[in-house]
Parts: sequence; C-alpha cells; structure tokens
Amino acid sequence: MSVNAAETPQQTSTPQKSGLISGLPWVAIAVALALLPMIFTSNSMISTLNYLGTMAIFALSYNVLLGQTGLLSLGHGTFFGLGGFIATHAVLHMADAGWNFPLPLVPLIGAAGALVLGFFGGWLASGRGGMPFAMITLGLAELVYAAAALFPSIYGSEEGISMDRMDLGASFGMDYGPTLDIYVIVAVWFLICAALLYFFSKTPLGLLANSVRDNAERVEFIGFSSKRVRMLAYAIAAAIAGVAGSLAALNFEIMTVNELGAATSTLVLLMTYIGGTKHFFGPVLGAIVIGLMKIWLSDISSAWMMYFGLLFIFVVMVQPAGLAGILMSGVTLMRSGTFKMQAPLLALIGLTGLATLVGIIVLTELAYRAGLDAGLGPQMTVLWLPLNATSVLSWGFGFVLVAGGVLTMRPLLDRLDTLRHSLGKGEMA
Amino acid sequence: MTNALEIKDLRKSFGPVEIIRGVNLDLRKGERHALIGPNGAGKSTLFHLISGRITPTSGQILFDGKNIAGHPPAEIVRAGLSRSFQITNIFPQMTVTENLRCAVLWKLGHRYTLLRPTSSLKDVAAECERLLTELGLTHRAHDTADSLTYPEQRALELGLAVASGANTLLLDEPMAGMSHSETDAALQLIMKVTEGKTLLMVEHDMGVIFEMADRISVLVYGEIIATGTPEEIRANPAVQEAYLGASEEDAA
Amino acid sequence: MSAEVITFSLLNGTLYGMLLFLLASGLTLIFSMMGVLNFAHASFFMIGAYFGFEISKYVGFFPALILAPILVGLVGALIERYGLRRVHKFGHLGELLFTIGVAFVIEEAVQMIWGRSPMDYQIPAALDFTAFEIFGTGYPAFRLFMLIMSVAIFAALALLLTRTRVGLVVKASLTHPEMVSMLGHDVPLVFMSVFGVGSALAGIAGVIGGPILITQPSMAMSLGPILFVIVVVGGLGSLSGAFVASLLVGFIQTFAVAIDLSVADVFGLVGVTQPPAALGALVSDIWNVSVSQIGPVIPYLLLVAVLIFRPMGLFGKRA
Repeated sequence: MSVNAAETPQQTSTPQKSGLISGLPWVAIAVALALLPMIFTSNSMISTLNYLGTMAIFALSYNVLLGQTGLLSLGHGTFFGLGGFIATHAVLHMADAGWNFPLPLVPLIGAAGALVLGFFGGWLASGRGGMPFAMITLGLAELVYAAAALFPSIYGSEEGISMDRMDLGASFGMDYGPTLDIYVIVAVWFLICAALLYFFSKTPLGLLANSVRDNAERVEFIGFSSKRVRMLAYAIAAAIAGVAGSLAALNFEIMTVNELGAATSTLVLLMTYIGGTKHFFGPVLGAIVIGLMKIWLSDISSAWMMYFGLLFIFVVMVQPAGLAGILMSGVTLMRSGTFKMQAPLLALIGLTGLATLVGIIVLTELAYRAGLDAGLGPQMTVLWLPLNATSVLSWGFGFVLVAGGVLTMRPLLDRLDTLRHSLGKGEMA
Repeated sequence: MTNALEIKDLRKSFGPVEIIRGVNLDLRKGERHALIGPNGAGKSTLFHLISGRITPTSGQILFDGKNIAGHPPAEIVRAGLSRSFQITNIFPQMTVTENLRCAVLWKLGHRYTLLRPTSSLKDVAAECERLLTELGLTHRAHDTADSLTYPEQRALELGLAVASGANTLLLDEPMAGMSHSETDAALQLIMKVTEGKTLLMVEHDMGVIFEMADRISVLVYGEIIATGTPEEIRANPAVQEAYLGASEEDAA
Repeated sequence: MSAEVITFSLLNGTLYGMLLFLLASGLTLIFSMMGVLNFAHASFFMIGAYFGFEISKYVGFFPALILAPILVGLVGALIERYGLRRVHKFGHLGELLFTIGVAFVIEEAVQMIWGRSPMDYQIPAALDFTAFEIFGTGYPAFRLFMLIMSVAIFAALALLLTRTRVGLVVKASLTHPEMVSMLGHDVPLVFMSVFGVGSALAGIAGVIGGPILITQPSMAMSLGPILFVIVVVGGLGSLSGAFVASLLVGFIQTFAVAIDLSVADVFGLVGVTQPPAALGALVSDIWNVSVSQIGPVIPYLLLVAVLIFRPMGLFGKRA
C-alpha cells in the first residue's frame, strides 16, 4: 500500500526517455478535454466541467506547496479569491474604458496580481516551515478576510461584485455568452497551468523545493536559502491560484468575500490531500472526486460534508498517498503478476470494506434524519434500503455492519500481509 | 596567507553554562586536522559554531581572513567551507542523483533557476556522474536515499559536503556507527574525495586519527589543551592526563 | 473616552483575555508536549458550550459546569488514543491534518445534532443579578463569576505544574520523553492525559463562555484563528507568552469596540466633513471606517507586526 516517491511521475522520466513518449499523456489529456463537451452536451454538465477544471488548477497550484515543498498553507484560498476579484475589476474597468481586451487573457491579470501579493505573503510566511508556516498563512488569510469587510468598493458588501463577461466584446471567434466558450478557456488554461507546473517540478527550483520538503536544514548547508525557496514556491502557487480564481470569476460572473475565506482554503487542502500529494496528477483526481461529491452528493444527502470530512480523516490515517496512491498501487499489483493469487483475498477485503461503508452511510443518514432533518419524518430510503430513524432495527443494522466490518477487516489484512510476504519470498527464490 | 581557518577566543554559552570557553585554533591550507576530546568536550558545538548552525557568544572565526562568525550557513558554504553531519542528514525521499544535483547547483551557478529543466543542464549531469563514481554509488543512482544501506548513506552524506565544491571541509564523525571493515573503506573514500582540500574532522577511532591526521587538536571542557603532530600529541602530558585520567575507554 | 467606559472596557477586556487564555493554555500545553498544534482545540470549546447547554437543561448549570468538561476531556482523550497516536508515524504534518479533519467533522456533527441555528443558552438564574455598581451602571454577576473561574483555573494549573509530582513528570515529558519513559513513567498515558486535560480546559471555557458568546456551529471557526494568533504572538510553546498575548488581544478587541471614532471624525476635527470626491471610492471606504470596524483586524495586524519585528514571538526563545 505504500507507494513512495520513487514512483512519482517526477522521477520516472529519465533523461534518455524521448520527448515523444513523455509527451503522450499530454496529448491524451488534450484529446480527452476536446471530447468531453461532445459527450456531455447539456449546459449544466458543461458548467460542472468548468467548475471541475477550475478546481483542478487550484488543487494543482496548492500541491506546489503541500506535495512539492512540504508546506501546509491554511490560507491558499486568499490568492484564489484575490485573483478572482482582480480579474473582475479588470473586466469592469476595461469595459468602462471601452477596451477590447480578449477575455481569455484576463486570467493573466489575475495571475500577475496574485503573484505580486504572493511574493509579499511569502516574504512574511516563509521564515519557517511546518507548524509556524501553517499558522502564519492562516493568520494572513484571516487578516485579508477581516480587512475585506472595510472596503466595500473593492469587495462588494454581502452580495459581492458582479460583472458581465460579454462586456469586453468578442475575440478568438467567441462572444463568451455560451458556457461552452468558457469551457474552452478553462480547458486551455488547465493545459497551460498543468504543463507549467509539471515543467516547474523538473527545474532546479522544483528540485530545491523537494529538498526543502525532505530536509530544510540541510538545504542551508549546500548553499541555498530554504526561506527563498519557500517564498518562490509560495509566489508561484499564488499566481496559479490567481488563474483559477480568475476562471471562477469568468464562469460565475460574480465574486463574494467568501471566495477568499477559510472555507476555500480548507476545500483546496482537503481536495489536494484526498487526491494524493505524492503524484503530479493526484490533486486533479481529488478536485474531480470532491467536486462531483459537492455537486451531486449535496443534492441527494444533507450529510455530504460529513462524508467529505470522514473521507479526509480516512486518507490521513490509512492512505496518506491519497486516491492516486490507491490507484497506483492497483497498477503495481496488476503488473506484479501475482494478482491472480491475491484476487480471492482482495475480493473478500473489498466486500468487507463495502459492507463497512454501507454501515457508515446508514448510520450517518439515520443520525442526520434523527437530528438536523427530523422535520422530514423518520421514514427514509437509503441505498434502496427502507430505514426508520426511530427504529432500533435500522440502527442495529448499521451498527452490525460497521462493527462486523471493522472486526473482520483486521485478520483479513493480516492474512494479505502474510500472503504478500510469502509471494515476495517466492519471487526471490 | 597559509591558514584556511583561524579561530580566535571563541566562546559560546547556553544560559549560564559556558560550553566553548575561549577556543583558539588554526587550520593550515591543505592539512588534515583532527579534533579529538572526551565526550561532552564541545566538539560538535564547535562544529556548529564554525558552520553557522549556531551563533557564538563572542570571538572570531576567520575564514580566508574574513570573519564568518554568526553568518548564516548558506553564506559560509558559498564562501567555500562545508560540513557533514554526525547523524546522517540527507534528503530521504529523493534519489541519490537528485541529492547530489541539489548540492552541485550553487557552485555551477544555477541558483534558483526555473527556466530550464534540470535534466538539460549538462554540467550538472557530468558533475553528478563524477561524484557518483567517486563515491561508489553509481549502481544506486536512481534509488531513494532512505533505501540505501548505512555505509552508503554515510558516503552520500560525505558526498553532499564535497559536492558543494568547498575547499575546506568539516567532517563530524564520518565513521560513526560503522564496523571495522566498513571503517577502512570509509577512510579510503574520505582520503580520495578530500584530496587537496583542507580537512577538519572529529573522530573517535584513535587508530584512524593517528594514521591520517597531519595535526591533532585536543578539546577538553571547551578549551583546546594541545595542538600538534600525532607524535607530539602522543607525548603530551596534558593530553595523557585528560585521557588516561578521565577514561581508559576513550584512549583505547 | 470617559472613566466609566475605560473601567468597563478594562473589566471586559480582562474577562475576554482570561477566557482566551483558558483556551490558549490548553493549546500551548498540548503543543509544547506533543509538538502538535491542535487545530480542533476551538472545536472542543464549542462542544463544551453545547454539552453545557444540553446538560444544564436536565441537571442545572453548576453540575453541567463539572460534567460537561469531563465529557469533553474524555472525547479529547479518545481522539488522542485512537486517532492522533496512530497518525504520529506520519509526522507533525499528518497530525495537524488529522486535527483539521477532526475540526471539520465536529462542526458537521454539531450541526447534525443541534441544527444550524444558535442555541438558547441562558445565563443561570442563580447568577443573573448585578454584582456591583460603578458610575451608576451595574456589572453582571455572571461575568464576575467567569472572571473568578478563569483566574482560579489559571492558578490551579500553575500550582499543578510547578508544585506537584504530576507537574514534574509532565514538564519532564515535554523536554525528555525518552528519559521519562526509562524512569518508568507511561509517556503515552501522560500524553493522553495532557490532551484530555487540555480539551477539558477548552470545555470549561465553552460552558462558561457559551451564554455570553453565542452558542452556534460557527463559533469554533470564528475563535480558532484568534487562538493561533495568540500562540504565535506569545511565542510558540510559551505559557507566559500565551498569557500576555491573550490579555493583549482581549484588551484590543474590547477597547476597539468601545472607541466610537471613525476616520471621518478625525477629519471632522480639522473641518473637513466630506471626502474629496476626486479621490474615488476607495478613499470614501477608508473615510467611513470606524475603530470598532477595525477591531477584528487588529489581532492579525499584530501578528504580522510580530512576524516582521520579532519572529520568535514576544516570549519565544528563538526563531
């Protein structure tokens, strides 16, 4: 289950690997991005894709800090929000002045603004890593959030600041009325940002960021300043978050102070970590999964935030490599050639896990129905199961599933370890 | 100027306790100088002071004639004085090659570059190749540092200090925790990679010290009580008293 | 500002500062002991308030004052034992992430059980009278009670840490965990107890703070960042630093509310009553800013100032 850094994409590309092969995944991504709007044609689906793309860029920018430099920022949402406000004001002012500035380039303005602010914030926050960094970024974010209330002409009051993205006029053959036009902008920016950040991970500065993550003190003894590396990483992450914020502004045509608050900062942390910080595309996976949870699950269950939090705790406690880590260990397993021998046990573990999950869902839904949603009456259907929030039977069913699942899981995992151990020995012999 | 390093009346106190109590020490260019002394004499503290990890209370550390006392470590390394650590201090999740790449970047003038990929820097690749061969780690080049054996990690630790291109090296117990046969190999490696460089080394293995050192300084209770060639140190009554009087184990 | 306003602001500032210190002391104890910044600390404060509210409905306020913190302490100890201890192997980053997750789930759980609107958590009838009068205005007994409670707990904690054998073991475990373990003390148990006691302290703050501050699901998230400002400004891991910073923040926030002054008033003194229209909307924003509006911003400005001029914090040992 442990997928270590040796298997991350940063390290697998050795110099002798030709440019053609390393370019292939990028071509595949570009093709997928082009096909998506043809498969999902409805306006609401395209709007969802826009949101997911924006969040994916945001999460990728966050991983420059968390995964690559080992910095836990609790205030990354600030740059998302500020980027969005800068983009909004840019559109408003340029429209007033009658400029025909191409709308797809507006995120550049948001990024430039966020970059400058990122340097300033980084200068303040980068002295130390670890806990002090986390707290200082939190403090700075709260400062910006609290101060925003003093400037209604910049941040708007309760209802925020709105704009009309069509005011800048048409360019590149699009008038930016349809959601699909925005999808084109988001998709292109996603490719640009992902490529830039992937390139960053390959540069000397990216390498130094990794070394600061691994051992910040030793970095000082090979001639570099950890503080400088942190500050540069912080500013770069801020600039890309500014792109994401600008795209959000173009997509929704409104920015509110909440966008730069703690909720945004927490969201990006959870997305990125759940997706997996040790693989370059892990954060994208996290953004997609959590984004979809946010959009779809919130429709069918008022407990979706609870599931979100529980999933996060699960990843922190059991699978620090995140969903990408699970995926990659699956791939490794398939390639190892011993999959067939492990399959029955793995299936059993999967079933037990599924039963536990169902139990957790049943209990959570019952609890919400008994508490927050008591007004809806005790009768409910969860996963096609008829349940009753006042019935001992329903609660007992959930408890049995969870307790049984947890108790069965332990010996099963032990047996898997033993099996893998003996398989490993067999290979050696 | 024949002295690479001159330490003048260096003092360091932690609260009311003075650990380094007026150390005076010269390091001649190109010599192999060993620093010995009983446990708790302040050898590691002295290394931390010279390398900038901690700031001295008073006194001077002249490196190439310039006072570096209290300067940040990065500045001292750039000036040409680097160190290794007693407890292995490498980049565990990165490969051996990546460890070395980081360490050679500054001297090759690449600084905080983000315009070119590291793999396209020919000079970095060549220098890392040379270091890998010298350290005997070529076959481990693409393994993560935390997967190395202990002697290999010690070699990498030494490699990071050497890779920075410094002409003066401080090695803090480079053979700590090694078996007898490993010590011999490590000693040969140190002699090879530090050829032509000035060396100040803390070591507990007296056999190694008396075999390799040009001069030896003895640090006892935060003071240098003697400096001289191995023969002079062997004959020095104060050293005999400090070691034989204190503990026979250390003198063995 | 009149003497009356100053006196009441001093009283309320001390009160708010002591309440903050009740929280910050637990946070500091846990931090200096385990190296973990407990992000969920303010959440324990919140469940303290909710438990206090719920229990006092059945058995009254004073038994709740005892029972609720014990329950919160138990919750804290369980979270340490079955959660935090297991993520210890992933380092401090893993531990911090875990406590962020716990804070997230607690906030959700509170909404699940008690709903999203504020609770009707009233001051107990036994303490609902005027304690004394100065300048013709009464000072509520409950506030005086809060103040006495906070000071008493502070004194008890100080005595426990400096005068008892338990305190010695705890202080020694802070600096030399291996040695203390070799001497036959159960360090994991000490850690669990410290985490439990720290949480219980937050719980007490919740029970007595709940009726004054509003008991609602957002109370943890609104107080949490202020706590972090306090521990950074005071110097990470320094109890005396946390004490001074708590009072400082307490005074800043109460005095800011009391000062009835805006930028426009200052200009009004020199005869300028309207912002020059030519300078635009931003200037008119600043024109209308009053001191009480700046109140919430000042702690964070203080944080930035401390970071620039004294990065180790007021009482921190080193950067």
